[in-house]
Amino acid sequence: MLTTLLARVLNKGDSVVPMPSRNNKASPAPSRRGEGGPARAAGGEGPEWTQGLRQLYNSVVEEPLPDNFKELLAQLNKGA
Amino acid sequence: MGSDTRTASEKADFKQELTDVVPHLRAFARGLCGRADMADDLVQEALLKAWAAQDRFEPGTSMRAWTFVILRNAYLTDMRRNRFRGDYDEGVAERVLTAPAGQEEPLHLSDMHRALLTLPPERREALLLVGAGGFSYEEAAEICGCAIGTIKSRVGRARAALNTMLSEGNIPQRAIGDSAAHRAILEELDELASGHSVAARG
Repeated sequence: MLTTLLARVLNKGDSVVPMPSRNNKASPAPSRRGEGGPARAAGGEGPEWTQGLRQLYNSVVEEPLPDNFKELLAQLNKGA
Repeated sequence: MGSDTRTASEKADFKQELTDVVPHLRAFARGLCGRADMADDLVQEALLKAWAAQDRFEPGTSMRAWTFVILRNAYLTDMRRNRFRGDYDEGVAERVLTAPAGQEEPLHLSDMHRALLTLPPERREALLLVGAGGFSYEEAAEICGCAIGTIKSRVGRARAALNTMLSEGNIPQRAIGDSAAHRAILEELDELASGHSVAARG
């Protein structure tokens, strides 16, 4: 999969990289799976701060979207 | 997969998916660069790049991973252009830790965040992706353009460093106050950008 990705990038010289992963939705806290095995950085036997790390991330995710983002997204809509 | 082949429905789907990942981009960016205002600027830049490059997004793949690559590379590019450099010496953490309206971070979270900001960028991003963003090691490796083993190593080193800092209460008051450490981090950034950054050059 990675080889394909690299080949595509090298061939096109693209400025962005389409990802082949099939995890389509932006779920707030996707489970950690994959061929790389489970990552235990935020759970299990980890120290207390690992939960805090997730908490910091989620606290931003849950913030209301600032107006300037809404405006930007609206502008993208118009251009579509 | 040019723009002419995209249906209106696919374009609408792209727009919706892009909208859905904005909160995640903001969270990742804030973890990466610290300051909320700069993080949001970075996200806006990434959104514009993603929008311009939408023909290269493969429907059905992870929009979050795709846009994280764009965001990460915009961050590296900006870092190398000095955009964020001057702010590191000014006690980034103190300003970063101004919690969003109506939210107070417990002290230990502030400590954790400040400690996080002292990590070298490549370890910080690895820990953010895996430990906070919930990506698998494989996905994180793809986003960072490196081997899975490298990501595991970075996450491990990041965890060890945070464990040490937090358990001993030895957290620098300034995120990066040491000029030598600062220089080393910039060198690492250069290496990261030159070696792995395939996205958002220039």
